[in-house]
Amino acid sequence: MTLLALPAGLLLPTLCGWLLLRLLEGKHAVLYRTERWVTGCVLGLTSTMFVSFVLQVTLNVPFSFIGFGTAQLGLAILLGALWYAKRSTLGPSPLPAHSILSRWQAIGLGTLLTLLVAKIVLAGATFLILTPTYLQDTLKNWNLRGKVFYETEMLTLVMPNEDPLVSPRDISSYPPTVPMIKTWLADIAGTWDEALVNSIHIVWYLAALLLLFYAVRRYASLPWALLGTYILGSLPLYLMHGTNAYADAFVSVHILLAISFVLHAMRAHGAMQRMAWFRLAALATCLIPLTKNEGILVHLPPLLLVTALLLLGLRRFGQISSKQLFTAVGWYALLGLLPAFWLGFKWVRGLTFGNGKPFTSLGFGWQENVLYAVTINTFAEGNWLLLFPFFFGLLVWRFKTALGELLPLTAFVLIVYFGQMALYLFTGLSTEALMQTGYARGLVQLAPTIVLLTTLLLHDAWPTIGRSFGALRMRKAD
Amino acid sequence: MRLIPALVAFGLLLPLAAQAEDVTTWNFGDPNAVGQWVVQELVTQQAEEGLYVRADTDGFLQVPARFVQPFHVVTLTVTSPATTKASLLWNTKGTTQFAELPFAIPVGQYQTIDIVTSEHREQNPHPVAIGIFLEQGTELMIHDVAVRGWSLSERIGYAAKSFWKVDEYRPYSINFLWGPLIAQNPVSLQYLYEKLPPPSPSATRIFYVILGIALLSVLATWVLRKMQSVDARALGIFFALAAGLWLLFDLRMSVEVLSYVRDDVKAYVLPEPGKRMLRTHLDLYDMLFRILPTLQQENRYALLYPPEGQHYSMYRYFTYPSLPITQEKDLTGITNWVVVDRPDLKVNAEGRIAGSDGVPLSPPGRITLQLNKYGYLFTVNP
Repeated sequence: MTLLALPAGLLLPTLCGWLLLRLLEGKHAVLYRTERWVTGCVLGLTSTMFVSFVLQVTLNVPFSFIGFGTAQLGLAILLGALWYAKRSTLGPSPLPAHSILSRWQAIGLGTLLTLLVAKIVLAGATFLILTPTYLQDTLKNWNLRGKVFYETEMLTLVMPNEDPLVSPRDISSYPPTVPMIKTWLADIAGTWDEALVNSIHIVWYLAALLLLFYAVRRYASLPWALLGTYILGSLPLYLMHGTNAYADAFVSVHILLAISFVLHAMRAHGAMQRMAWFRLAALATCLIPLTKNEGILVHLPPLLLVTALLLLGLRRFGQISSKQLFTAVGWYALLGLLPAFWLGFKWVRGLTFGNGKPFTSLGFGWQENVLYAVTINTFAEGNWLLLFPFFFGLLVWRFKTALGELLPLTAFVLIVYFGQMALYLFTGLSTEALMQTGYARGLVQLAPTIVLLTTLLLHDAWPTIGRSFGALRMRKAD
Repeated sequence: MRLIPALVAFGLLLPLAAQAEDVTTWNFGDPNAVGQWVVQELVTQQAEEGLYVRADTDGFLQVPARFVQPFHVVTLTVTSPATTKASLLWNTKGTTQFAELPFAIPVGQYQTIDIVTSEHREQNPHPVAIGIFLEQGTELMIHDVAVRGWSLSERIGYAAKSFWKVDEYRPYSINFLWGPLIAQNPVSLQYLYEKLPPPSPSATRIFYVILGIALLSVLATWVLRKMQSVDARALGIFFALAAGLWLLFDLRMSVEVLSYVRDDVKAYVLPEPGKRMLRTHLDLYDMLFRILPTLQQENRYALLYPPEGQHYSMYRYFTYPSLPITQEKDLTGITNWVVVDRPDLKVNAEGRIAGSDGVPLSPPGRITLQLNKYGYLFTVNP
């Protein structure tokens, strides 16, 4: 029964997220209906936790059922009132282009996805609900902080039994969103329940699968969207992250939203739709620093760079007006106040900006064996099946598409990937690659985006691949 | 016409079946067998059950080897009064230098030590001599030495079995999963994921070889067609293989993740409290949850655990807001004491927890709940 607090806890944040998205879309709705609810759930949770964080550090509103509930209800009423006032001007949601599965597609993809769902249910139920918290980072960070927030009802920066001067500079420097969501769920249940506070992680994993489905569906037929979903679901290490109480799948779904919205903006057919995508992208982008510290240093700068270059490119080719360009920048600046508040809080309270030591203390120089360790993790273990050889192969083969209509995705993935590689190859962060700790998490955070890019490149290559399969069938018939 | 491919296939498969496990054994209880070995700098004494060896200085035993077949594992059976280290030696053809492969000798009688020589790149499957190097101070009885090799067909069989053998859910499983490995003998198969990093190669090598050949075929047609087009059938075969290998890999890794589920359900979910084991932490959770209500009655408790253990963060999280105290200087005034995995700590005649040096750590009290052999809840007398 305690687990019922999960859907209850998602209710108001999802509603807030939905309203926020609907208002940002404005007259020209661009999200599919289900896609909006799922996106609303993801971004709504992060947004409402941010509001509670601001209320806590400014007005000392407690992390209690009343405190969280008041913030969410207040936000829902505010956004609801705005939505009500504008409802007559808000356009209808688009529908995906009609597409059906052939008999063999239904059998093949149906079998794969049924097995996938069974695997997710069994792994999720066992690792998140039926067994206690096991992994060190969960015990020392995500769950511990949530439990401390729950007991103290405030944003406690000093973890139990730790030095008050040192402790805040450690895990308390991480954004508090994930621990706060756990606190909120425990507040609803009235008790800190392991299964309940861990169950939230499956929501982000399922959201990543669904949002990838809709991102592919926008450009390809139903079988391709299902294939993309299967590819992401089949990645073993991503499944482990989705069905264990870790925060990297949570980060990954925010990244997928932010960069895919930028892609959709580039490929939108109308100027109004394009601006709606940019507003949505601004929200998703500005929430990324509130997920994990990597969001600030690793993901936000490339996202902003890609977006800025895209905006300038669109302006240069006359796809948007100067006014629209400045409006888009204005939205990023406005919503940028969210991470600015968090960064300001960090600065005022003396928290760190990275995950560990500052870069200046890491030294600089070629790090032995990193390339070997990275190659093993990427290509020769069970983490990613054969995703990366296919991904890099497709990037080379379909480079015109990768650098053309999929440029924002390609540029973002490559900048982040090779940026992280540079850190591992030339700084003391190399231990993260050598010990196989941080490197794979970086890939987990990028996994849905890489799968989106891979699926779209595969879709682009399909005329050739399809012909080759056709030739095989003809040979068989001969 | 179909007879020709069948004969070719038979011819190709014949060598696979022609060989079987090849074992050369020296029984050290047999003076004739011992006589083949050259002893350098070691004190030896022949006995019915084997050869007693004492190393007053570093020394070695060596035997000229004339192995017709490649060997993959050297198995020693020894009795040792203490844990010690040794090295397997072999010299490669054309050199006078011996390659060394260190291994540990466990304490106990008739201990079997398997050294998988084929897992080492420098290994020469056709050595001209093998030997055993013993460090100064080593004392042991060698019962026998066996050199074992397997035929190609057997190695393929073990490789196929090892592909489906899965790892356990361990703390590193959130950072990486080794994936399928290729072991080519029963010893490597048995210890596939026990030695880290695993010495057996990844099965993905085979995937890449298959895909590489298929891709080269595609590229060959491209070159033959003067770089104008590729053969559609060759491309079709490449993509069919790619899809097939993906599905096979997915199936293999799904089996692994579902085996984690099965293990958790069997060892933790279904058993009664008191018999639950969770992954590498074994009964730690079970013990913790049995005493959790007691620990949470007070705002702090003493936690005595091995320094290398992961117990602290686990106890701190689960018992919070009650906190574990671990520093000896802070232990005064605490009622509940948890002792986990500390065989060195015993309750002495005065009813105090004391270390192996006899120094008492706790005030007088009693064990209120025995959790396992080396774990208990100790309550200080009021």
